[in-house]
Amino acid sequence: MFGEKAAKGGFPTIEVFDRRSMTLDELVVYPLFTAEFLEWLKQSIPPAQQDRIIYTAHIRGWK
Amino acid sequence: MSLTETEIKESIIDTYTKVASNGRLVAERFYSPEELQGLPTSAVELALGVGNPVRHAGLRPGEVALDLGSGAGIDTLQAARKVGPSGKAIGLDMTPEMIRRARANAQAMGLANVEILEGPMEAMPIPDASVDAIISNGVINLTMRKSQVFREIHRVLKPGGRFCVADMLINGELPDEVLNHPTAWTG
Repeated sequence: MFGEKAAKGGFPTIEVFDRRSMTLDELVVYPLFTAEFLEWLKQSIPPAQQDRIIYTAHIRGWK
Repeated sequence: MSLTETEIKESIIDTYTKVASNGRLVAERFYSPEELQGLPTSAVELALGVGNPVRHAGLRPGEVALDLGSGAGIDTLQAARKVGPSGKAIGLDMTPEMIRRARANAQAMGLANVEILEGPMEAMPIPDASVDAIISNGVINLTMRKSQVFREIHRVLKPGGRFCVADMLINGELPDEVLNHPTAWTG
């Protein structure tokens, strides 16, 4: 998704690297989310998707 | 009903104003002990990013670096060390409490080459073509106007300048009730 947004912003080519899946359980380290919210999230997202719905990556581009 | 941009921003500012430290859990996941050495506890314990863009930005002495969504300053402070006294690290954030913390952390480190600005990343208070490198860590996902943020990144970068962003992305479709939950937009 960032590729399309970056292209619209003037960066037709970007480099994506260090892509890693993040499970819902890993979100517990972030104090932005309460335990109640994370539990609700687990109930709202189908179990089959929970381990692959979120990922992190580094994105690099040059002007 | 979908959240408005204003509602999302208010929710983000409220969340980041009240956020409590979670110890070093996030920092130790993404930064080496050497990278964390010498940083104020307040910066380390309020690390909320999802990667380590400073490590991959190739910052050099004398450069101007800009950190979008600088928070308590963990990446801005590391960028300041990389660009050195002849360079400058600018942090940009929209949460007054985080700005206060980042300024205090820069002062605690005795860094004179750090400037923390308040403003939105969709309309940065930064002159055109004035920045060598832009970093950001887990922040661009927070805005509804991502293309506008990249337009602003393009505007403020010098010719040949670069950005290195770490962020959280979604693989597939989230249910509508998740997409429209304010907390989902704050992390």
